[in-house]
Amino acid sequence: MNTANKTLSISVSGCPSTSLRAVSLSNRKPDLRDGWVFAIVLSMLLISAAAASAAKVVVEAEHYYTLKSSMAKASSQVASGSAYVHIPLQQPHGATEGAPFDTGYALFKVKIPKTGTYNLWGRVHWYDGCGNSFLLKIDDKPQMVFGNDGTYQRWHWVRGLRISLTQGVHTIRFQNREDGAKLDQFMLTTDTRYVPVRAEKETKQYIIRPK
Amino acid sequence: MLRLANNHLITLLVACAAALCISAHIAVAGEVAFLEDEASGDFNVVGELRFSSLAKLNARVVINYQEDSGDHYAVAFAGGKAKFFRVMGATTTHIGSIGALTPPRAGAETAAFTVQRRDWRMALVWDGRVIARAYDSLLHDGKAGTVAAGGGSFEELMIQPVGDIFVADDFVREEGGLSAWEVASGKWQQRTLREDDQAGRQDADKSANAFSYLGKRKDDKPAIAVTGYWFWDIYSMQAAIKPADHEAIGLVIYFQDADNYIVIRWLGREHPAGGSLQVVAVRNGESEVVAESKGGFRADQWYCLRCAVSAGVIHVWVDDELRLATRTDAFGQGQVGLYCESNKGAFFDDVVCGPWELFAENFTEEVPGKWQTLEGGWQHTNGSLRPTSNTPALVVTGRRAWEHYEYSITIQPAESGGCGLVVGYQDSNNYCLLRWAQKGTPYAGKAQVVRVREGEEKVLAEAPVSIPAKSWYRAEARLTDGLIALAVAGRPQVEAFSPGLTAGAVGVFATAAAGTQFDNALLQIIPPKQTSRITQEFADVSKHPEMAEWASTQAPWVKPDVGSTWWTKGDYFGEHALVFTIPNVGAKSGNIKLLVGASDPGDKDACNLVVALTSGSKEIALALRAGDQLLAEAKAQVEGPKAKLSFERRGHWLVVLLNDDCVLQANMASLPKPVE
Repeated sequence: MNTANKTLSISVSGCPSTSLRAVSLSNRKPDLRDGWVFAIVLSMLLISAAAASAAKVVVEAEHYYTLKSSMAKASSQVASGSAYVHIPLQQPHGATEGAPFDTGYALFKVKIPKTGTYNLWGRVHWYDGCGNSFLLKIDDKPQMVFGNDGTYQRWHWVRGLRISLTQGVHTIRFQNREDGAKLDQFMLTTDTRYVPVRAEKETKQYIIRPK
Repeated sequence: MLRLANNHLITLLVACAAALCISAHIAVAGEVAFLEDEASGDFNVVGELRFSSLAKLNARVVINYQEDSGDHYAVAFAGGKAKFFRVMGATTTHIGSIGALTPPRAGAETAAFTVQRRDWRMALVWDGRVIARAYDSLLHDGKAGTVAAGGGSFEELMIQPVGDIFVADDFVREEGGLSAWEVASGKWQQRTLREDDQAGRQDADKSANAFSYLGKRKDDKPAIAVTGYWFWDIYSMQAAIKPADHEAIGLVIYFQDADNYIVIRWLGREHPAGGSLQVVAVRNGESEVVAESKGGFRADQWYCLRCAVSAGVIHVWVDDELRLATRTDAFGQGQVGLYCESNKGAFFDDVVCGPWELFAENFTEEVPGKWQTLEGGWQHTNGSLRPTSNTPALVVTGRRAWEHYEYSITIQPAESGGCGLVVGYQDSNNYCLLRWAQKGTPYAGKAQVVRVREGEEKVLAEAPVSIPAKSWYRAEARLTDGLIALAVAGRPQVEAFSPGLTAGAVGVFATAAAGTQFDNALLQIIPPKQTSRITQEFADVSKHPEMAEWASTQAPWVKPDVGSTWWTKGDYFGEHALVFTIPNVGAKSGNIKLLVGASDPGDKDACNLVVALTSGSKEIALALRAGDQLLAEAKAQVEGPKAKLSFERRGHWLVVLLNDDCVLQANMASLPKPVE
């Protein structure tokens, strides 16, 4: 059997009609090793082809690494995974855009699958115009405001910053800025066209949780 | 040999496992290259089609592919045309309109496209224009993919899920604060205080909302700020706008970029071109007025401008008055935005963009599959729909999930025979027919509401009707939570209440009426009533006793000086509901009496509901009366500790709902008149 010039054509989104060619390594009689070599080469090529496609990391907010009060976990039938984290409403509710009353946060550790520029999205629920944002800090970068849009009292996705991340472990911290702000999921994706509209399927393989 | 076979079997297994593990974007099954991403619910398939010649192109986009049966829908690009097909088993059926494929520009070899799938609608957007539409709801979910059979290839394919469309903004944020708006052109500023004569007395923290968004023309370009997403297609958009002068203001829909969008453009009454409201399609920077109506705005006054777009039909309202309706196939999707041509600027506030549903049919083009003939024969002739014979004929269209709607159609009746409207259509054995006839049928001279349930007809209500033959008139049906009402030529005719009849598709009916013509069908969802919002803080009257009289939940009620009867301060006209919760059913014995439509506290003929509770019992006894006359009574068991009761006036009906189930109903129109 001639194993030379085996050709497999596949198409990958954004990388159409990629031709993958496995070539025999020698002229000796094929044996079991050839099969494994072919499989390994094929797997590597397929993996590299897949790696060329978009990367997506989806994290349920209740799957934090650490949680500091006043950020708290809560249950809801309409939240993905039936749970979310939030800064509970204070009495009286904050009525200005002043400094937050504490530094409660939810800290996440995620494994970024490949180096690239990522869009950060958050599935959030805002109480009102004075309960519609978090402070966001990624690794040791300066913290910034996340949210501040005017869609209140319903779960919706909010687009955050675009950020360059290297392959490997990163920390993402959502911190108190206003009470009445809730976080259900967040997503990092290299696909600049994709817009989340529903709860996304969690990518557990990229989430680090305390043992 | 066996070893070699085993080797390659292992090779194959490992390769397959690898392929599965890495979730490569496309798998190949048969001739269809499937996209890996989920294609459930509403979604778009978006991409580019590369071709050498559109005439020689042979390609397909497959959606809702059912893995077990292979059934699917397809958009075929062939012979310079685009067509939708439904493939079920061995049967391929053409559905929808046919679109002509034209290159985006001379010599172009690629074109961007979007296939939109929305419940029962499908549409193809080709090079920024909707060129084909189809209607079918037999298949849902499944997989999506492509077939490039010749003359072309697909690139940049992606599935974009489409969820609820909603964005709102009251602009409560600090100046320069992060927001969901992107500035496309002009100058935009977050303003935290009003700019008017009272501005000096304004104090932001004492105002419910002193925030707004100010847009000004810049560099000879109108100010445009956009939000939302590129795939939004069916929505309503509204904003409060206060123009500083007579220059045009407006709302942007289907925004692609600063040179391609649709603008609802409104000119002030002092504008040199004269005050008018326009729908303008801007393509590659060139403007085309699609529709226009006269009437401009006054400067320095707040207005509510609203527009809605669905399947190419655009409606525009000013302060809730419908001012313009038109059609366009431009763009077919895009973001929403705010628009201002003034150097002085315009303030924008309270922006809401939300879901919208509208069905409009003018019968100018017969779209296969859009209307489904159930009985008799129908034909599209000269821009109208007409039955082909005197036998009973029934044709339906739309979504079975439509609810709470108003459906109307223009009719020119034949000299005899009956005609009617269908609402609440679920299947050929379950629907509601509103029919009437001058002569030639057993119900001649009457209008009837007929409920068809499991194939059995039952007349729910009927009333005398008088309609001039051979003249065009409009018939309107309303289906609202079980209330079915018919108006003909602007006059209410007959009404019935049928609990459980809340949703369904629509249609038209004719019998012994071969000359009858139907035209301009229109279905609009009736928007939910806005309930007044009480600021949470003011609900605590002990903290704000000075506000209790007018700003709390107690505000509409007069506290009794003697006795225990609470009356509302004002009169309530039309449909209304008295809704409250009984907190601990079974905790105490006692009666509650509710009255609606009472002329004064001493009105002995007022309709009333007595709710009787018994200690230790989960049973609630309800008695509905007009004065002392018993109209209906019922007993109902409550499962939980609470019971939500709603005493409603709907049309001519009194309806009592307990935990959202109808327990009592009475037709007030049939009540005997009080003795003088």
